[in-house]
Amino acid sequence: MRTPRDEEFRAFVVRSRDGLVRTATLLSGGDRHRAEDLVQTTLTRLYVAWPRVRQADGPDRYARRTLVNALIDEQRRPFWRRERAHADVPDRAVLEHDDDFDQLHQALAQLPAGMRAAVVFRHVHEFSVAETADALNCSEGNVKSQTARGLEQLRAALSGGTPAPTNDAILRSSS
Amino acid sequence: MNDLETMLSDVGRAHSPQPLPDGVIDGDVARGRRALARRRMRQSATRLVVVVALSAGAFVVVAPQGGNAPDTVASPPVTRLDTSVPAPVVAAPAIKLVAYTGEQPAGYTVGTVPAGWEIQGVDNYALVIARRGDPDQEVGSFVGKLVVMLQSKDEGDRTDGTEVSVGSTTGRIVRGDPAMASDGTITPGDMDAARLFFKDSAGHRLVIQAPVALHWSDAQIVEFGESVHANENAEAGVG
Repeated sequence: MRTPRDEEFRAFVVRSRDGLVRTATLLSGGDRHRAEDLVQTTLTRLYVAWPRVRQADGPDRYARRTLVNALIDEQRRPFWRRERAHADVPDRAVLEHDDDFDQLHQALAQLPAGMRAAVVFRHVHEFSVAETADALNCSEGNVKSQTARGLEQLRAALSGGTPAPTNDAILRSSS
Repeated sequence: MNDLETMLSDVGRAHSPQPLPDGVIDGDVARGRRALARRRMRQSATRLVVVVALSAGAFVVVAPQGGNAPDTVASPPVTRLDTSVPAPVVAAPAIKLVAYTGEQPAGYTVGTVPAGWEIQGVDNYALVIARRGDPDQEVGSFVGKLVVMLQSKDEGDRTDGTEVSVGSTTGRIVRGDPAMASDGTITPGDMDAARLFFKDSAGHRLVIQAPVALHWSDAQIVEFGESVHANENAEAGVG
């Protein structure tokens, strides 16, 4: 028996899951299993908070923030537990791979979580600075500095040079 | 736009949406339901603790360390229960099982239900039985309800708890299972229910979750478990 919460949540998942997995794959440096874990954690939190989510400005905005929080929470744990929610992760290409993209994923994976998220939202999803700041719950100035440093480190990594020293600032701490 | 930014932008565009495999969305909903049920169960347990503490009329003043005693002493509560003569504790009787005569739910065959309880709802993942008139009509909420489901595909056989005989097979009854929040934190012994894990005659790995409100002994949980069977429509959750 489905409840109204189930029906609304299901409609949201049908519409948004693919995009969340795509974002999560980039945020996790191309690791599809980890991306699937992040999306499942995000969706579970959304279901529990659904009355609040549906009243928010938009479930998509709430989902993006929850996904970033899940990423940062995961990296703060001393270990992260892999819980397979279904036996097999969908065996499909989330991105159409080629060598450049693989290298880009690897380079993204080297960035601190908050910096990676800033680069992904700003330059992959092409959000504005304000939209990126909203998704990351930080100031616009912080987005600018984090994306500038992120791009600099990506360039260094992709050119085979030594990346600049990592500034592992958590975005929210300096908002 | 330089090469790197072009490449990042291309990554965003080089994606063709694919149809979701069967069961993925059902799994998302099932995980959400379980997390919500665990949260409500914790909230229910917390409320119970608060009510018990208030009922006991306990009043504790903790003086600060280091000699900085307060100038004023906390006043006693205006009203206080007289606890000098404790009221006799009367154990609530267990709710008896009666034959189930209603329409059989899809996914399961039910032989008995607790007296005064009814089938509140059923889907592929869970059969939910609740008191008649239970104000909590949400089928996804399992707090205080008798629930039958298949064990998660990703959960191994239980080896903890008490071994019991269920029909021609054996099972295990686990009381005070730890509850896990959606963020992965685990609270030991938080689950306000007993759970029976066993395989039915067709090999389905069944879980019976019996709330403490039923006051059932292990034998009564087993008696109910023996009257329930899953069929091919029942589906195991994941995670």
